Amino acid sequence: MKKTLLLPVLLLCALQPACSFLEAAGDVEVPESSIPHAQFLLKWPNVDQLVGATLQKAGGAMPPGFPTSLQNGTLAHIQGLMTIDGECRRAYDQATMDDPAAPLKNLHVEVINCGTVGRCTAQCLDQFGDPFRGVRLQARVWFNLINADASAKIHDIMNGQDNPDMIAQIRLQFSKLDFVQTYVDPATGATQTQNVDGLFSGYELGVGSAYLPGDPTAVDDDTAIVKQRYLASISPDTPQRFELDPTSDFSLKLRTAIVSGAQVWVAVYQNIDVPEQNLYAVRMNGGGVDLDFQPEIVISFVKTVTGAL
Amino acid sequence: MRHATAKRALALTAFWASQAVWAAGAVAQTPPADEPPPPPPPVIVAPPPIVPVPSVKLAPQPVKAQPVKPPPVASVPLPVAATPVAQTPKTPVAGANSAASTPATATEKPKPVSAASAKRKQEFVKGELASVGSIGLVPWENQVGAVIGMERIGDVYYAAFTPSINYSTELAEQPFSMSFGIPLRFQAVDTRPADSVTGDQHGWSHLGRFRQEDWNDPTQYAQIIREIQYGTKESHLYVDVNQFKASSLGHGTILKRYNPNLNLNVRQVSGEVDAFNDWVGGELFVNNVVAPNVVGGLMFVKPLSFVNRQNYVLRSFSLGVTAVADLDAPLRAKLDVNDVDNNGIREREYLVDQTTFKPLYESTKVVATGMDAEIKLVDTATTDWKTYIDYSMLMSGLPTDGNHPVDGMPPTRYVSSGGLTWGNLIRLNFGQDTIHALRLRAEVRRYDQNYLPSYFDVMYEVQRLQYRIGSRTADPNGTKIQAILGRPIVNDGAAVLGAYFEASWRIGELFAMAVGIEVNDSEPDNNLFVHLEMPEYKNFQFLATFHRRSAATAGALFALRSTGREIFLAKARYRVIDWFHVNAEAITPFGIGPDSFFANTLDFNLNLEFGFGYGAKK
Repeated sequence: MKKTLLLPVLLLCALQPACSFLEAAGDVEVPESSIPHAQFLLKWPNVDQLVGATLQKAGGAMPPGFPTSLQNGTLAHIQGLMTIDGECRRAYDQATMDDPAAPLKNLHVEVINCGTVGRCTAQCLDQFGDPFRGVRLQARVWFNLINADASAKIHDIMNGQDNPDMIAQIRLQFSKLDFVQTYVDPATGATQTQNVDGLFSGYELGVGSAYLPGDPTAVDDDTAIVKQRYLASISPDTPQRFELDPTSDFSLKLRTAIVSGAQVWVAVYQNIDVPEQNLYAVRMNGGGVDLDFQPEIVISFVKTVTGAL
Repeated sequence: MRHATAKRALALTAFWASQAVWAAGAVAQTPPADEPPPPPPPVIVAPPPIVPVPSVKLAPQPVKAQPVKPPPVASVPLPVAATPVAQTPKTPVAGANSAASTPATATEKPKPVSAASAKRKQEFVKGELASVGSIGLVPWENQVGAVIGMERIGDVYYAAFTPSINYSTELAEQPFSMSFGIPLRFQAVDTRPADSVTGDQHGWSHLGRFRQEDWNDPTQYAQIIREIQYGTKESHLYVDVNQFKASSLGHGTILKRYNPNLNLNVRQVSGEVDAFNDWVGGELFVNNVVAPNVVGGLMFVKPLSFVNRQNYVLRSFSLGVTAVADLDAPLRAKLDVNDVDNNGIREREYLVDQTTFKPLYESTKVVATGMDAEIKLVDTATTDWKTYIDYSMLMSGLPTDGNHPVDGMPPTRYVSSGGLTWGNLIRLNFGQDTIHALRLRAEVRRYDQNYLPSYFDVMYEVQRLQYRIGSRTADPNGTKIQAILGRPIVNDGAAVLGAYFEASWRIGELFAMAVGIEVNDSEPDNNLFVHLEMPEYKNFQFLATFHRRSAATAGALFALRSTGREIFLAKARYRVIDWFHVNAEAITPFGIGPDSFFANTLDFNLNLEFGFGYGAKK
């Protein structure tokens, strides 16, 4: 917007609702073509990767009769192993993804054993503060929200302004967000994919700047975006839009990063709680999160005008 | 949140056509008093000529007769024909009539004076002296015309055309005024995002479409009533149907200056009927004459009138009961978890009906009841002092689902609280040529921690759903019921001590002002208001009110930083030529905007009013 127009615009702003018009008309969504669409399967780690190359007790040999691999094991098996070892959590890290095209890196997965009353209590409280029994899975991965091309286009749309307040809204529109696992159909012998959304609770997908959960060197600014209650409504036919809470600390960091003109990586986290009664129904091998979403950014040009002055 | 600052709830042109606040009964205010009928006609000497009533009318000017007061000078029965006298004692008059008290000279031939006019000269100015809590103005004269401007309802902007007509007269010696308008809205732009499923764009696609939603329901036809008023507050019979004024019941310990239209996305026509005599009386109030949810009533008896009706102390002693209920009080707000407006905001905004832009909620009932006693201590030609004591209770239900909120209506448990008030109301009239009316109210209070005096207050219409407005978040459990009745009891339940003081001052039609402050020693429910009013100065009308509500401490009432719980209304109307007025206003409307929670922002509006006077100016 040329600066010669700024004064008339601001004068119009003095007469509401003329300014409302301007703000409404001034809110522009960055074209979808400018921000890469994200579609990938974020796989769970192989169970053997999670528990070790070979199944073994952390402190020594396994008890006689135990299998040496949990390749086809369920979460119940993993929990049993962790209980034997007296572990509250196990972590797995992977620097690069199997799919090199996926805008992801540095996957970190934790399995938290909430199987024993009176143990691991600090890590095993549900959203209401009540004890949770089962297995809690937490995953964090770096996601390239704004790549170099997108950053340049956004910067261009914003006329080179670097006022983070010009970004009125950051949101993700999901066409798919499914937890899946694979199994071999005994009738056909073919590998099938199965949705397991109904087998867990407490789902939360969010973003933050900390790579590792609980990283003492990082500020805890995790901000939830999608919760369990919304999973059922997301489908290719009914895409659902979720905004990043603009009042959150992370939002300000993210908006500042976007207007800086640089690439932007964010830590995406997901948590699920698989209750005890469903542990035998959930396998990690071949499973993961099937994601299809479009990041969206809305820019306020009235803020652009104001910022220009 | 797409428009962080775009909370313009409504553009309000409609108010200009309507606001009768200043007007209402202006002209010949001859309300009977709350005193016994006057004995033999009061007498005056050479009444001054009665000049035409000024064209501007002010807020209701309740008056009382002073029948027992001796005439100031020798008497001449009315009507007075022609007894020119140079010395013309002035008697207090109300409202517009004050201008009529022009001294007669020896050479002037006094005009015949009606009994009603003469009676007005005995009137003592009382009742509300300023239009605190009102949200607008109306043309001050009989006029037919239209207002053209822009309005906003929710996320949609409209060009608004409001044909209107106003008429004021006198009926049975009481002021009677009416104002009607037909708001016709034509869509300009819809700022909601495109539908994510169908891809349908909103924007300008329905430019010029008539907003049929305004007229779908037969109950909506009541919106053509801007105002119908008969009598004045505190007259023996008072009927008021309007869509911009604030209302109170009794001493206001339960319902005080409640304005059903402070949520500017919603228009309601409220109704009030007061009637009393020397023995019994009552007041009835509904916030919506078609589909009320806030209803209230007051009944009182004056038992000592049966003993001696001539003694003002005995005659004034009254015992009353009051009950007010919100039959559809928000208990828990619904959130837009399904993103019906497709903006991606779910748990930070309320679920709003996309046609009416009204927020949705799980509702219950909240009931307030009270008992009071009142007696007049002083009653002279210039001073009126009454004292009263009032005990009120608040009752409703609170959710019991705690940390595990259920979908739908939560289970509830009964909760009640109460408070005691001792108050004094002093009304003074001074002056001869120009009457200065002063009204003072002082109260001390002692009440439970989970009680709130004047629960149905000026901001009830918006705070009932979102009590802590200003936090800019949509807390489903932030309703007024939960915020007040669910307040944690601390300090072993020690009672809250509070005080209320209010003063208003009026100088005829020239000027009015009022200030009020409400403080307590422990709860974040401190309030303040300041009001200025210029009913008419040549071609100019002006009104400004500032409220700060629910401040954390008494000191916070005077902080420079906004709490988000302020109301500011400034309205001005200027007559450019007889048939053309320009209206300007600066307001902070509350409404459900694009963020879908109640908030206010400063709006400036300008609109044009075309109107032609007819009949005698009132």
